[in-house]
Amino acid sequence: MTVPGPATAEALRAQVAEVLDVPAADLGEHDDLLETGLDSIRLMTVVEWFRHHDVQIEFTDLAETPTIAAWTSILGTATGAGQGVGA
Amino acid sequence: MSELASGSPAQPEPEFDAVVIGGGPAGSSVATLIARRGHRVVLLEKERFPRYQIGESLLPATVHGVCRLLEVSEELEKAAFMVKRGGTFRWGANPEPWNFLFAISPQLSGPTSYAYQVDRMVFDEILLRNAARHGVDVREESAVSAVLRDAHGRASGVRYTDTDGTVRTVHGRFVIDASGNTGRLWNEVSSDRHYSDFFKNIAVFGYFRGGKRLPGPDRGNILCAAFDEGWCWYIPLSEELTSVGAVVHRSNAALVQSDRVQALHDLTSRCDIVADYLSAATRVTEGVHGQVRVRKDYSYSTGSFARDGMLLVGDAACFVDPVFSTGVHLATYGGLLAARSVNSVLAGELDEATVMDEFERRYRREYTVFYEFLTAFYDMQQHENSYFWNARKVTSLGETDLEAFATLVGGVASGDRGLTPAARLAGASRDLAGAVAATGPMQTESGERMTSLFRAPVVADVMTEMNQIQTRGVLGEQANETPVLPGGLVASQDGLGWLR
Repeated sequence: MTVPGPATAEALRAQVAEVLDVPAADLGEHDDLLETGLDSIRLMTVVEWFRHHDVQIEFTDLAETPTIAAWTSILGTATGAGQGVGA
Repeated sequence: MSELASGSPAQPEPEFDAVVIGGGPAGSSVATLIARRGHRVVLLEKERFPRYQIGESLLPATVHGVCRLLEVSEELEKAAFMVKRGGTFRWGANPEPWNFLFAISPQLSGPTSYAYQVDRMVFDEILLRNAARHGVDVREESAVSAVLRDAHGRASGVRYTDTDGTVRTVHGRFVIDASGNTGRLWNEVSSDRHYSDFFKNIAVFGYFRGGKRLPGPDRGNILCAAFDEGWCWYIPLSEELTSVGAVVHRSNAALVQSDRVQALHDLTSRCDIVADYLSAATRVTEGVHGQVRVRKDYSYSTGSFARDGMLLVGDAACFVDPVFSTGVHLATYGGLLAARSVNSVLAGELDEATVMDEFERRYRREYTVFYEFLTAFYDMQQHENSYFWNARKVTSLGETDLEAFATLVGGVASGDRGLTPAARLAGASRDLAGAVAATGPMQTESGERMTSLFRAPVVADVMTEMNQIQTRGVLGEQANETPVLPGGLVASQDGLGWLR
């Protein structure tokens, strides 16, 4: 697993791409990640990525809307625009 | 019960790193996981395996979490146990059964979205032989009678009687009690055990051939069905064989014990869905499965799980209740935590106080989250005029149970919700009932989606560690964990120790 850097939208996209073993550029913002091969174990690793960045989310938060766009929005809400990692 | 080792002031080097008492799932897990790091382990089991045991329905955390770390997955697959995709419950306000599935949805399932229903004679023996293959010195028909202590009062070994009746001693740097719910050695760690009145019940159980199966993909599920006197479990062990039990108020003990066969028949006949499923079935009357057995499922937690070089794992430490099939999970999880702590000390990586604290607090946290979940689960069930169910409302919780719960919650910081214990439990029950209502009956479109259930905070708490160890089991060194306790440790790269 990658060493966590800052919690940016790009880093999230890179993490998802790594978990799914696809090039980051191939992932559309609104692609249903389940169709790209996301399963429950892989989803849990994304949950771990969020938690490493001190974003307390649950498995269900990501599972309900499995798209890069939705997850980026969760990240944005949690970290706050222009700020570092949230409390 | 404990004794000082006699002899010279200079302590001889113990012949083992760990002495494990008991060869059930807890004992074989902790022994194997310590042996995997190359340490010397002896395991003393009082019976000769295979032997009968109850506690047949497993959770994915055991099958894909701990059992993968035990390197026993292939053996388990070869055993061809019944595959379980979840639990089916005739429970709560809705007369229609509903499912609690391991997969959040059919689309988002994964390699850990199932578990097994197991004949424990087979399962426990697989784990015990696996321990021996990993280098554990397994000694059967070896009943432990006492814990030995060194001059400083630290547990240093045990006295046992071997298969020939000879009394022997064996020494280790750690003593791990996995002697189950009939063991007495837990007193060596703490004399304090809180017994829950709320979960105190009696189970009477036997085996049937030719019972019906739930439809389609649910055919391997455990079925738990509430009725006026309590609830029944119905566990498909194979195409032919079903394990059936009735769990009722402890006041029925004398009646149940006086004629167990009759009691099982009477009680299951009062539970509509189970009576229907058994309508063309015949009870097994020969062999190991031919006995109707009784077990008083006393629910308890020992005051401390580790002290002075001795640890408690499995039922020797704590037990909640059979209704959500958590016994083997808690036992193997405790074994995993104990092994990590012992391994870290043996490797000289972390100090004993730190890792024993992590062991104790994580284990107690897991017990607490299940305690809370199961209390809410019982409270959800409505039944007027039922002695059993009226005694299992949150409002019936006695002072000592409430105090004990408050202590548990306070100790493990599982989310201070600013509520009294009773209010917190009542809230958990409402959340759960709401989630069940939102999910809907089994095998409907909504009934296949577990989002509402997994969202309920009391369920999310229960899934935290179970998800983490499954991920570890599947991904191995690729798994990356976060501390479960504030400021706590995480698993090491190989999953067998701790890291700061």
